[in-house]
Amino acid sequence: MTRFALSIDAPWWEVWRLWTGHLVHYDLRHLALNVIAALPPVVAYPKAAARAAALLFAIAAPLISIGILLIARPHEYRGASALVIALWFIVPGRIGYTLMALASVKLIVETFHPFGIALPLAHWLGAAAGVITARTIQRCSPSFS
Amino acid sequence: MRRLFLLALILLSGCSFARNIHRRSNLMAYLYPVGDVAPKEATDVALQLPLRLGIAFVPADRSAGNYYGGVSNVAPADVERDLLEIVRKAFAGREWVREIVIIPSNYLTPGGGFENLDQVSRMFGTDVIALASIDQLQSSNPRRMSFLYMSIIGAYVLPLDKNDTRTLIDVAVFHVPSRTFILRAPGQSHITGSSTAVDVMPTLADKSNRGMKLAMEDVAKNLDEEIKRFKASVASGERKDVDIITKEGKSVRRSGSFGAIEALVALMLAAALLIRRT
Repeated sequence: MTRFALSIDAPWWEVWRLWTGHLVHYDLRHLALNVIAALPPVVAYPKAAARAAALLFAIAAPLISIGILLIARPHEYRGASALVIALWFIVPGRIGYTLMALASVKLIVETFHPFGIALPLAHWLGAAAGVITARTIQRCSPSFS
Repeated sequence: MRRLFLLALILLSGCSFARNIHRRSNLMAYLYPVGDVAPKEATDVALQLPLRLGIAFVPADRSAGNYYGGVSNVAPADVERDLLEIVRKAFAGREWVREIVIIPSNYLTPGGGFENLDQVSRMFGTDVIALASIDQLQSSNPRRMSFLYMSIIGAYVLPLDKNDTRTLIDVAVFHVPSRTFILRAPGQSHITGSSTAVDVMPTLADKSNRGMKLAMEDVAKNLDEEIKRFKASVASGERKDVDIITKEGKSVRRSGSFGAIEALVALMLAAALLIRRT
């Protein structure tokens, strides 16, 4: 197991895993799918999406990780999908609604599909983080774009 | 005078020579006897948790018959049971284990292959069986000072035989109905010591058992790591032939986080945005 993946078996002092678990991926395909999924917000609002991504990575990433560790207790978790879902929930306007609808369908399908607990949980936590971040951004900086 | 000299020679002569003992059981020779071909790679093997896991020692290699004289066990039955008990205790209480069943190796026929393993699997009600094979090499060599054995008493009191015991135990886990290899974990130990000439064989026997015990403890440790790695490889999709179904009936396979459909929709959306911008 890589020293960067999120894991319930990792010693407590390897706290960087709370962040890096969202950066490392299982393979190139896994990474490519997450990068493609992050494209719409980045293309629609390049600067704002970068700011939101930085905010999500700094604050939401460790909170999502702690949630995953406490509930799903995975031996190994990798991937940026939870953060990408969060990003989808931040995008305003029509594109935002489209992404939100797509994410909602995905979350429902995953919850009832036998994918185990870690993955749907991570995505639900990502969605929650996205909604909270969106509201925070709206209050602090109403013009997302 | 001549008779006296001969008597003195007999009394003073001590026996001291190098000994090598090789205990070996070969997993491949057991599973694939001569002429048997390996089965095709199985797909869609589902391991339903919690597992009822069988564990057994592979019977001794037939080619080692000169040494074993037809005995099919590498270690005595009680030693085998104690060794397997180490693994059983190490994994008892794990959430993925329902029961670990110790299968005496005399239920396994040398060179019996998967046909024999099928019978054992049905008999003990275990779809997944862990097979432990042993490779142990023991050597005992007299030290330079061993000429003191010529005093006869020296052979009883002076520990001038240097002995060395190297043990390797390899545990391979199989899903028997599909003949699928799940994972493997090795364990090893190395013990050195000395003994008197008359105690060489009892000392080697004792060190053989201790070496196997230490190697088995190492196996239990490594097996734990290998199981975690196996679970991760199934969850990541790296192992495509095997799936793990949890107690709740859910697969641990990762969906790819973002599936091809979501990625395609996202890509189309991004492309539409780019076109609209230009």
